[in-house]
Amino acid sequence: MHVVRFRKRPKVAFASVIGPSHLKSGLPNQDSYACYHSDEFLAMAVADGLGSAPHSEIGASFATHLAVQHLSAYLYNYGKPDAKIKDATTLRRRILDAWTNRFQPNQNKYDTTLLFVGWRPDVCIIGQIGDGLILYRRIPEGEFAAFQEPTKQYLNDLGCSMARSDAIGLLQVKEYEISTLEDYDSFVLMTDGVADDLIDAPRYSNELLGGLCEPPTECWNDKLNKHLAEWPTPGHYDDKTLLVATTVHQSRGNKVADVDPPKTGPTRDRSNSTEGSPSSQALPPREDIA
Amino acid sequence: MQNIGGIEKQARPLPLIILADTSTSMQDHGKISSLNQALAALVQDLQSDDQTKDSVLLSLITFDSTVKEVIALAPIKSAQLPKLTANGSTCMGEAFRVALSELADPQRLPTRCLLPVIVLATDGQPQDDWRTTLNDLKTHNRVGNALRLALAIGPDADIKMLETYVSSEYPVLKADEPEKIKTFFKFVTYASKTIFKSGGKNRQAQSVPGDLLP
Repeated sequence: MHVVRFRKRPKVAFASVIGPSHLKSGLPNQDSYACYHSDEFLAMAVADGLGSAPHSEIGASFATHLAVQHLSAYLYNYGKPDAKIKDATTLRRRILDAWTNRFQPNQNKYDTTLLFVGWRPDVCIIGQIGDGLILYRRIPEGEFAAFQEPTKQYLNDLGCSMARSDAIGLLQVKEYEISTLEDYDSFVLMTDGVADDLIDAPRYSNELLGGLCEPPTECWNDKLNKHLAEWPTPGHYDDKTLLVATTVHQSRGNKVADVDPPKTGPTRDRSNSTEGSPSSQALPPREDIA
Repeated sequence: MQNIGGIEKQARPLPLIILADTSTSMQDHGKISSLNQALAALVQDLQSDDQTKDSVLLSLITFDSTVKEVIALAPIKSAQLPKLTANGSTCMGEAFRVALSELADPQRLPTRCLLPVIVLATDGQPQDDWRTTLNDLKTHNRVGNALRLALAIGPDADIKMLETYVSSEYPVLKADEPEKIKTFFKFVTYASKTIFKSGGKNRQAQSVPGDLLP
Protein backbone atom coordinates (compact mmCIF):
# COMPACT_ATOMS: atom_id res chain seq x y z
CA MET A 1 0.00 0.00 0.00
CA HIS A 2 1.27 3.50 -0.82
CA VAL A 3 2.63 5.23 2.27
CA VAL A 4 2.47 9.01 2.25
CA ARG A 5 5.42 10.65 3.95
CA PHE A 6 6.22 14.27 4.75
CA ARG A 7 8.30 15.90 2.06
CA LYS A 8 9.82 18.08 4.80
CA ARG A 9 9.51 16.41 8.14
CA PRO A 10 8.11 18.78 10.78
CA LYS A 11 10.18 19.61 13.81
CA VAL A 12 8.26 19.66 17.09
CA ALA A 13 8.97 21.55 20.29
CA PHE A 14 6.96 21.88 23.48
CA ALA A 15 7.13 23.48 26.89
CA SER A 16 4.89 23.82 29.93
CA VAL A 17 5.50 26.09 32.89
CA ILE A 18 3.55 26.20 36.15
CA GLY A 19 1.86 29.53 36.80
CA PRO A 20 2.86 31.82 39.68
CA SER A 21 -0.53 31.45 41.37
CA HIS A 22 -0.21 27.66 41.48
CA LEU A 23 3.36 27.89 42.72
CA LYS A 24 2.13 30.10 45.54
CA SER A 25 -0.83 27.91 46.45
CA GLY A 26 0.99 24.59 46.07
CA LEU A 27 -1.24 23.37 43.27
CA PRO A 28 0.25 21.35 40.42
CA ASN A 29 0.56 22.48 36.83
CA GLN A 30 -2.91 21.79 35.47
CA ASP A 31 -1.84 22.00 31.83
CA SER A 32 -0.82 18.94 29.87
CA TYR A 33 0.55 18.11 26.43
CA ALA A 34 1.21 14.98 24.37
CA CYS A 35 2.67 14.28 20.96
CA TYR A 36 3.31 11.39 18.58
CA HIS A 37 5.62 11.96 15.66
CA SER A 38 6.65 9.78 12.74
CA ASP A 39 7.68 10.16 9.11
CA GLU A 40 4.07 9.70 8.09
CA PHE A 41 2.09 11.80 10.54
CA LEU A 42 2.09 13.98 13.60
CA ALA A 43 -0.53 13.92 16.37
CA MET A 44 -0.36 16.52 19.13
CA ALA A 45 -2.58 17.87 21.87
CA VAL A 46 -2.62 20.37 24.73
CA ALA A 47 -5.14 20.68 27.56
CA ASP A 48 -5.80 23.01 30.46
CA GLY A 49 -7.45 21.58 33.56
CA LEU A 50 -10.12 23.78 35.05
CA GLY A 51 -9.09 25.56 38.22
CA SER A 52 -12.45 24.75 39.80
CA ALA A 53 -11.96 20.99 39.29
CA PRO A 54 -9.88 19.47 42.11
CA HIS A 55 -8.25 16.76 39.97
CA SER A 56 -8.13 18.56 36.68
CA GLU A 57 -4.43 17.86 36.12
CA ILE A 58 -5.38 14.17 35.84
CA GLY A 59 -8.26 14.97 33.50
CA ALA A 60 -6.02 17.14 31.32
CA SER A 61 -3.26 14.52 31.14
CA PHE A 62 -5.70 11.78 30.18
CA ALA A 63 -7.38 14.00 27.60
CA THR A 64 -4.13 14.76 25.78
CA HIS A 65 -3.01 11.14 25.72
CA LEU A 66 -6.44 10.01 24.58
CA ALA A 67 -6.54 12.59 21.81
CA VAL A 68 -3.09 11.62 20.53
CA GLN A 69 -3.92 7.91 20.65
CA HIS A 70 -7.14 8.29 18.71
CA LEU A 71 -5.66 10.80 16.29
CA SER A 72 -2.75 8.46 15.65
CA ALA A 73 -5.08 5.56 14.97
CA TYR A 74 -7.16 7.68 12.63
CA LEU A 75 -4.19 9.02 10.71
CA TYR A 76 -2.38 5.69 10.56
CA ASN A 77 -5.44 4.04 9.04
CA TYR A 78 -6.67 7.01 7.06
CA GLY A 79 -8.41 5.94 3.90
CA LYS A 80 -8.22 2.22 4.71
CA PRO A 81 -11.51 0.43 4.16
CA ASP A 82 -11.31 -1.43 7.49
CA ALA A 83 -10.51 1.61 9.62
CA LYS A 84 -12.62 1.73 12.76
CA ILE A 85 -12.55 5.52 12.91
CA LYS A 86 -13.75 6.51 9.47
CA ASP A 87 -14.29 10.24 9.83
CA ALA A 88 -13.82 13.27 12.04
CA THR A 89 -17.29 12.91 13.54
CA THR A 90 -16.51 9.41 14.80
CA LEU A 91 -13.14 10.59 16.05
CA ARG A 92 -14.80 13.34 18.06
CA ARG A 93 -17.29 10.94 19.59
CA ARG A 94 -14.62 8.38 20.44
CA ILE A 95 -12.44 10.91 22.25
CA LEU A 96 -15.30 12.38 24.27
CA ASP A 97 -16.86 9.03 25.17
CA ALA A 98 -13.54 7.54 26.27
CA TRP A 99 -12.76 10.55 28.42
CA THR A 100 -16.23 10.66 29.99
CA ASN A 101 -16.32 6.90 30.65
CA ARG A 102 -13.01 7.12 32.44
CA PHE A 103 -14.20 9.65 35.01
CA GLN A 104 -17.98 9.43 35.28
CA PRO A 105 -19.96 10.07 37.38
CA ASN A 106 -17.38 12.52 38.75
CA GLN A 107 -16.17 14.00 35.49
CA ASN A 108 -16.70 17.52 36.81
CA LYS A 109 -13.82 16.95 39.23
CA TYR A 110 -11.47 16.22 36.31
CA ASP A 111 -12.75 18.81 33.89
CA THR A 112 -10.46 20.23 31.24
CA THR A 113 -10.21 21.91 27.88
CA LEU A 114 -8.65 20.07 24.92
CA LEU A 115 -6.95 21.24 21.73
CA PHE A 116 -5.46 18.87 19.15
CA VAL A 117 -3.99 18.68 15.67
CA GLY A 118 -3.40 15.66 13.47
CA TRP A 119 -1.15 16.28 10.47
CA ARG A 120 -0.43 14.05 7.51
CA PRO A 121 0.95 15.23 4.19
CA ASP A 122 -2.50 14.67 2.64
CA VAL A 123 -4.88 15.59 5.47
CA CYS A 124 -5.08 17.70 8.58
CA ILE A 125 -7.54 17.42 11.49
CA ILE A 126 -7.97 20.18 14.05
CA GLY A 127 -10.12 19.99 17.16
CA GLN A 128 -10.84 22.28 20.09
CA ILE A 129 -13.10 22.52 23.09
CA GLY A 130 -12.58 25.39 25.49
CA ASP A 131 -10.00 28.10 25.87
CA GLY A 132 -6.63 28.30 24.24
CA LEU A 133 -5.58 28.83 20.64
CA ILE A 134 -4.58 26.73 17.67
CA LEU A 135 -2.84 28.72 14.96
CA TYR A 136 -1.88 27.36 11.60
CA ARG A 137 0.11 28.74 8.71
CA ARG A 138 -0.51 27.73 5.12
CA ILE A 139 1.66 28.42 2.17
CA PRO A 140 1.32 30.37 -0.04
CA GLU A 141 -0.80 32.63 2.22
CA GLY A 142 2.06 32.73 4.66
CA GLU A 143 0.27 34.27 7.68
CA PHE A 144 -0.88 32.53 10.79
CA ALA A 145 -4.61 32.20 11.35
CA ALA A 146 -6.58 30.98 14.37
CA PHE A 147 -8.67 27.84 14.09
CA GLN A 148 -11.27 29.13 16.51
CA GLU A 149 -11.41 32.80 17.39
CA PRO A 150 -11.76 33.37 21.14
CA THR A 151 -15.39 33.86 22.12
CA LYS A 152 -15.24 34.41 25.82
CA GLN A 153 -16.45 37.74 27.01
CA TYR A 154 -14.17 38.13 29.98
CA LEU A 155 -11.19 36.24 31.15
CA ASN A 156 -11.84 33.51 33.70
CA ASP A 157 -15.46 33.15 32.78
CA LEU A 158 -16.95 29.70 32.55
CA GLY A 159 -16.33 28.37 29.10
CA CYS A 160 -16.59 25.08 27.26
CA SER A 161 -15.00 21.97 28.67
CA MET A 162 -14.98 18.18 28.38
CA ALA A 163 -17.28 17.49 31.35
CA ARG A 164 -20.16 19.57 30.11
CA SER A 165 -23.26 17.63 29.19
CA ASP A 166 -23.33 19.37 25.80
CA ALA A 167 -19.61 18.80 25.11
CA ILE A 168 -20.34 16.78 21.94
CA GLY A 169 -21.75 19.92 20.37
CA LEU A 170 -18.99 22.15 21.72
CA LEU A 171 -16.00 20.07 20.61
CA GLN A 172 -15.28 21.50 17.17
CA VAL A 173 -13.40 19.08 14.90
CA LYS A 174 -12.64 19.87 11.29
CA GLU A 175 -10.79 17.93 8.64
CA TYR A 176 -8.97 19.52 5.75
CA GLU A 177 -7.65 17.72 2.72
CA ILE A 178 -4.26 19.03 1.74
CA SER A 179 -3.36 19.75 -1.83
CA THR A 180 0.13 20.73 -2.90
CA LEU A 181 -1.05 24.31 -3.30
CA GLU A 182 -2.39 24.60 0.23
CA ASP A 183 0.29 22.87 2.21
CA TYR A 184 0.55 23.69 5.88
CA ASP A 185 3.98 24.53 7.16
CA SER A 186 3.41 25.27 10.86
CA PHE A 187 1.07 24.79 13.79
CA VAL A 188 1.15 26.44 17.20
CA LEU A 189 -1.01 25.14 20.05
CA MET A 190 -1.27 27.05 23.31
CA THR A 191 -3.33 27.02 26.48
CA ASP A 192 -5.03 30.22 27.61
CA GLY A 193 -2.22 31.09 30.01
CA VAL A 194 -0.39 32.15 26.83
CA ALA A 195 -3.33 33.03 24.59
CA ASP A 196 -5.01 35.42 27.02
CA ASP A 197 -1.95 37.66 27.10
CA LEU A 198 -1.60 38.00 23.33
CA ILE A 199 -2.70 41.13 21.58
CA ASP A 200 -1.64 39.81 18.18
CA ALA A 201 -1.53 36.03 18.08
CA PRO A 202 -0.47 35.69 14.41
CA ARG A 203 2.39 38.13 14.89
CA TYR A 204 3.40 36.35 18.10
CA SER A 205 3.43 32.97 16.34
CA ASN A 206 5.50 34.30 13.44
CA GLU A 207 8.06 35.86 15.77
CA LEU A 208 8.09 32.80 18.01
CA LEU A 209 9.04 30.63 15.05
CA GLY A 210 11.62 33.14 13.99
CA GLY A 211 13.13 33.12 17.45
CA LEU A 212 13.31 29.33 17.53
CA CYS A 213 15.10 29.23 14.20
CA GLU A 214 17.63 31.91 15.10
CA PRO A 215 20.94 31.03 16.72
CA PRO A 216 21.91 29.93 19.28
CA THR A 217 20.80 26.56 18.03
CA GLU A 218 20.13 25.09 21.42
CA CYS A 219 17.33 22.67 21.95
CA TRP A 220 14.03 24.23 20.95
CA ASN A 221 12.35 22.85 24.06
CA ASP A 222 14.81 24.71 26.26
CA LYS A 223 14.20 27.93 24.34
CA LEU A 224 10.46 27.57 24.73
CA ASN A 225 10.75 26.79 28.43
CA LYS A 226 12.87 29.88 28.99
CA HIS A 227 10.45 31.99 26.98
CA LEU A 228 7.48 30.87 29.10
CA ALA A 229 9.39 31.13 32.37
CA GLU A 230 10.27 34.76 31.54
CA TRP A 231 6.77 35.73 30.41
CA PRO A 232 6.67 39.54 30.16
CA THR A 233 3.05 40.35 31.11
CA PRO A 234 2.89 41.84 34.63
CA GLY A 235 0.70 39.98 37.08
CA HIS A 236 0.44 36.87 34.90
CA TYR A 237 -0.65 33.95 37.02
CA ASP A 238 -1.70 30.96 34.92
CA ASP A 239 0.05 27.78 33.79
CA LYS A 240 1.44 28.16 30.29
CA THR A 241 1.86 25.52 27.63
CA LEU A 242 3.09 25.82 24.06
CA LEU A 243 3.45 23.19 21.36
CA VAL A 244 5.04 24.12 18.03
CA ALA A 245 5.34 22.01 14.89
CA THR A 246 6.92 23.38 11.75
CA THR A 247 8.63 22.36 8.55
CA VAL A 248 10.59 25.63 8.65
CA HIS A 249 13.71 24.68 10.54
CA GLN A 250 16.12 27.49 9.88
CA SER A 251 16.10 31.28 10.07
CA ARG A 252 14.99 33.29 7.09
CA GLY A 253 17.75 34.10 4.66
CA ASN A 254 19.22 30.65 5.04
CA LYS A 255 18.23 27.84 2.82
CA VAL A 256 15.77 25.60 4.57
CA ALA A 257 17.57 22.40 5.36
CA ASP A 258 16.35 19.41 3.45
CA VAL A 259 15.21 16.68 5.74
CA ASP A 260 16.83 13.28 5.61
CA PRO A 261 15.45 11.08 2.85
CA PRO A 262 12.62 8.90 4.17
CA LYS A 263 13.70 5.60 5.61
CA THR A 264 12.41 2.45 4.03
CA GLY A 265 9.12 1.46 5.63
CA PRO A 266 7.20 3.38 8.31
CA THR A 267 9.17 4.54 11.33
CA ARG A 268 8.08 5.70 14.76
CA ASP A 269 10.44 8.39 15.91
CA ARG A 270 10.22 9.09 19.63
CA SER A 271 13.15 11.50 19.86
CA ASN A 272 11.09 14.67 20.02
CA SER A 273 8.36 13.18 22.08
CA THR A 274 10.05 12.00 25.21
CA GLU A 275 11.45 15.26 26.52
CA GLY A 276 9.74 17.20 29.21
CA SER A 277 7.04 15.85 31.46
CA PRO A 278 5.69 12.30 31.40
CA SER A 279 2.60 13.66 29.67
CA SER A 280 4.65 14.13 26.51
CA GLN A 281 5.67 10.50 25.99
CA ALA A 282 5.15 9.01 22.56
CA LEU A 283 2.18 6.75 22.00
CA PRO A 284 2.10 4.32 19.11
CA PRO A 285 -1.19 3.82 17.28
CA ARG A 286 -3.38 1.29 19.03
CA GLU A 287 -4.71 -1.49 16.88
CA ASP A 288 -7.86 -1.81 19.02
CA ILE A 289 -8.78 1.82 18.40
CA ALA A 290 -7.84 1.64 14.71
CA MET B 1 13.76 34.67 22.15
CA GLN B 2 13.63 38.06 23.83
CA ASN B 3 11.25 40.77 22.65
CA ILE B 4 8.80 38.58 20.82
CA GLY B 5 6.00 40.82 19.65
CA GLY B 6 2.27 40.49 20.11
CA ILE B 7 2.38 39.97 23.88
CA GLU B 8 0.48 42.27 26.22
CA LYS B 9 2.72 44.31 28.51
CA GLN B 10 -0.06 45.46 30.87
CA ALA B 11 -1.66 43.39 33.61
CA ARG B 12 -5.30 42.47 33.13
CA PRO B 13 -7.61 45.12 34.55
CA LEU B 14 -10.12 44.40 37.31
CA PRO B 15 -13.37 46.39 36.99
CA LEU B 16 -14.73 47.43 40.39
CA ILE B 17 -18.23 48.90 40.25
CA ILE B 18 -19.74 50.46 43.36
CA LEU B 19 -23.48 51.15 43.48
CA ALA B 20 -24.02 53.52 46.41
CA ASP B 21 -27.40 54.45 47.89
CA THR B 22 -27.62 58.24 48.33
CA SER B 23 -31.31 58.42 49.18
CA THR B 24 -32.58 60.77 51.91
CA SER B 25 -32.46 58.13 54.66
CA MET B 26 -28.67 57.92 54.26
CA GLN B 27 -28.48 61.34 55.95
CA ASP B 28 -29.50 59.73 59.26
CA HIS B 29 -27.04 58.61 61.96
CA GLY B 30 -23.95 59.60 59.99
CA LYS B 31 -24.40 56.90 57.33
CA ILE B 32 -23.47 59.09 54.34
CA SER B 33 -20.46 60.44 56.24
CA SER B 34 -19.25 56.92 56.97
CA LEU B 35 -19.82 55.96 53.34
CA ASN B 36 -17.71 58.90 52.16
CA GLN B 37 -14.90 57.96 54.54
CA ALA B 38 -15.08 54.31 53.54
CA LEU B 39 -14.89 55.08 49.83
CA ALA B 40 -12.00 57.48 50.36
CA ALA B 41 -10.09 54.77 52.25
CA LEU B 42 -10.79 52.20 49.52
CA VAL B 43 -9.56 54.50 46.77
CA GLN B 44 -6.47 55.50 48.72
CA ASP B 45 -5.61 51.89 49.53
CA LEU B 46 -5.92 50.70 45.94
CA GLN B 47 -4.07 53.75 44.62
CA SER B 48 -1.16 53.18 46.95
CA ASP B 49 -0.71 49.51 45.96
CA ASP B 50 1.83 49.29 43.14
CA GLN B 51 0.04 46.37 41.54
CA THR B 52 -3.54 47.62 41.70
CA LYS B 53 -3.05 51.32 41.07
CA ASP B 54 -2.58 50.77 37.33
CA SER B 55 -4.97 47.90 36.89
CA VAL B 56 -8.20 48.48 38.83
CA LEU B 57 -10.91 50.28 36.87
CA LEU B 58 -13.29 52.05 39.23
CA SER B 59 -16.87 53.03 38.57
CA LEU B 60 -18.93 54.80 41.24
CA ILE B 61 -22.65 54.99 40.52
CA THR B 62 -24.93 56.70 43.04
CA PHE B 63 -28.67 56.27 43.10
CA ASP B 64 -31.38 58.32 44.73
CA SER B 65 -34.17 59.91 42.67
CA THR B 66 -31.74 59.88 39.78
CA VAL B 67 -28.73 57.78 38.91
CA LYS B 68 -25.35 59.41 38.43
CA GLU B 69 -22.08 57.98 37.13
CA VAL B 70 -19.94 59.89 39.61
CA ILE B 71 -16.81 58.09 38.39
CA ALA B 72 -17.39 56.54 34.99
CA LEU B 73 -15.17 53.46 34.79
CA ALA B 74 -11.71 54.94 34.93
CA PRO B 75 -8.30 53.75 36.14
CA ILE B 76 -8.26 54.09 39.89
CA LYS B 77 -4.95 55.92 39.91
CA SER B 78 -6.70 58.93 38.40
CA ALA B 79 -9.95 58.63 40.39
CA GLN B 80 -11.01 61.76 42.23
CA LEU B 81 -13.74 61.11 44.73
CA PRO B 82 -16.31 63.84 45.36
CA LYS B 83 -18.12 64.12 48.68
CA LEU B 84 -21.45 62.37 48.31
CA THR B 85 -24.66 63.88 49.66
CA ALA B 86 -27.97 62.18 50.31
CA ASN B 87 -31.32 63.31 49.00
CA GLY B 88 -34.18 61.61 47.18
CA SER B 89 -35.81 58.21 46.68
CA THR B 90 -34.16 54.88 45.82
CA CYS B 91 -33.90 54.17 42.10
CA MET B 92 -31.88 50.98 42.48
CA GLY B 93 -33.30 49.32 39.37
CA GLU B 94 -32.05 52.17 37.21
CA ALA B 95 -28.62 51.85 38.87
CA PHE B 96 -28.49 48.21 37.74
CA ARG B 97 -29.29 49.31 34.20
CA VAL B 98 -26.56 51.94 34.18
CA ALA B 99 -24.02 49.48 35.60
CA LEU B 100 -24.91 46.94 32.94
CA SER B 101 -24.58 49.51 30.16
CA GLU B 102 -21.03 50.25 31.36
CA LEU B 103 -19.97 46.64 31.68
CA ALA B 104 -21.60 45.27 28.56
CA ASP B 105 -19.91 47.77 26.27
CA PRO B 106 -16.73 46.25 24.81
CA GLN B 107 -15.51 49.75 23.93
CA ARG B 108 -15.52 50.73 27.58
CA LEU B 109 -14.48 47.39 28.98
CA PRO B 110 -12.17 45.26 26.84
CA THR B 111 -12.39 41.48 26.73
CA ARG B 112 -9.08 41.19 28.46
CA CYS B 113 -10.54 42.41 31.76
CA LEU B 114 -11.06 40.06 34.65
CA LEU B 115 -14.64 39.36 35.68
CA PRO B 116 -15.98 42.46 37.42
CA VAL B 117 -16.73 42.97 41.10
CA ILE B 118 -20.04 44.79 41.62
CA VAL B 119 -20.69 46.17 45.10
CA LEU B 120 -24.13 47.34 46.23
CA ALA B 121 -24.53 49.34 49.47
CA THR B 122 -28.05 50.37 50.47
CA ASP B 123 -30.10 51.16 53.55
CA GLY B 124 -33.57 50.86 52.09
CA GLN B 125 -35.86 49.28 49.57
CA PRO B 126 -35.82 49.91 45.84
CA GLN B 127 -38.63 52.16 44.69
CA ASP B 128 -38.50 51.45 40.98
CA ASP B 129 -38.69 48.36 38.83
CA TRP B 130 -35.56 46.50 39.92
CA ARG B 131 -36.47 42.91 39.08
CA THR B 132 -36.12 43.24 35.32
CA THR B 133 -32.84 45.17 35.37
CA LEU B 134 -31.35 42.94 38.07
CA ASN B 135 -32.26 39.88 36.05
CA ASP B 136 -30.63 41.44 33.00
CA LEU B 137 -27.47 42.05 35.03
CA LYS B 138 -27.37 38.51 36.40
CA THR B 139 -28.03 36.77 33.13
CA HIS B 140 -25.98 38.88 30.76
CA ASN B 141 -23.60 36.69 28.82
CA ARG B 142 -20.75 39.09 29.47
CA VAL B 143 -21.17 40.01 33.13
CA GLY B 144 -23.56 37.41 34.48
CA ASN B 145 -20.71 35.72 36.34
CA ALA B 146 -19.47 38.88 38.03
CA LEU B 147 -18.84 38.76 41.77
CA ARG B 148 -21.75 40.64 43.35
CA LEU B 149 -21.34 41.83 46.95
CA ALA B 150 -24.05 43.54 48.99
CA LEU B 151 -24.11 45.56 52.19
CA ALA B 152 -27.40 46.07 54.03
CA ILE B 153 -27.07 49.29 56.03
CA GLY B 154 -29.30 49.58 59.06
CA PRO B 155 -32.56 47.80 59.91
CA ASP B 156 -34.63 48.98 56.94
CA ALA B 157 -32.60 47.44 54.13
CA ASP B 158 -34.48 44.84 52.09
CA ILE B 159 -32.52 41.70 52.92
CA LYS B 160 -34.64 39.42 50.77
CA MET B 161 -34.11 41.61 47.76
CA LEU B 162 -30.36 41.75 48.42
CA GLU B 163 -30.24 37.98 48.67
CA THR B 164 -31.51 37.78 45.10
CA TYR B 165 -28.74 40.19 44.11
CA VAL B 166 -25.59 38.62 45.60
CA SER B 167 -23.61 35.93 43.84
CA SER B 168 -22.92 32.67 45.62
CA GLU B 169 -19.50 33.40 47.10
CA TYR B 170 -20.58 35.60 50.02
CA PRO B 171 -23.86 36.24 51.88
CA VAL B 172 -25.51 39.63 52.24
CA LEU B 173 -23.40 41.51 54.78
CA LYS B 174 -24.93 43.79 57.39
CA ALA B 175 -23.81 47.09 58.88
CA ASP B 176 -26.04 47.67 61.89
CA GLU B 177 -24.06 50.78 62.76
CA PRO B 178 -22.48 53.35 60.40
CA GLU B 179 -18.90 52.54 61.43
CA LYS B 180 -19.29 49.07 59.96
CA ILE B 181 -19.68 50.62 56.50
CA LYS B 182 -15.95 51.29 56.69
CA THR B 183 -15.32 47.68 57.75
CA PHE B 184 -17.27 46.47 54.74
CA PHE B 185 -15.36 48.55 52.25
CA LYS B 186 -12.10 47.47 53.80
CA PHE B 187 -13.25 43.92 53.12
CA VAL B 188 -14.09 44.94 49.52
CA THR B 189 -10.57 46.32 49.15
CA TYR B 190 -8.93 43.11 50.36
CA ALA B 191 -11.26 40.92 48.30
CA SER B 192 -10.51 42.98 45.18
CA LYS B 193 -6.77 42.71 45.75
CA THR B 194 -7.04 38.95 46.25
CA ILE B 195 -9.04 38.56 43.08
CA PHE B 196 -6.68 40.74 41.09
CA LYS B 197 -3.51 39.04 42.31
CA SER B 198 -4.91 35.60 41.57
CA GLY B 199 -5.90 36.59 38.06
CA GLY B 200 -9.56 36.36 38.94
CA LYS B 201 -9.44 32.82 40.29
CA ASN B 202 -9.72 33.41 44.04
CA ARG B 203 -13.20 34.86 44.37
CA GLN B 204 -13.87 33.40 47.76
CA ALA B 205 -10.50 33.57 49.42
CA GLN B 206 -11.16 36.53 51.65
CA SER B 207 -12.75 35.73 55.01
CA VAL B 208 -15.63 38.00 55.99
CA PRO B 209 -15.24 40.09 59.17
CA GLY B 210 -17.44 38.49 61.80
CA ASP B 211 -19.25 41.69 62.72
CA LEU B 212 -20.62 42.01 59.20
CA LEU B 213 -22.20 38.58 59.10
CA PRO B 214 -25.99 38.42 59.49
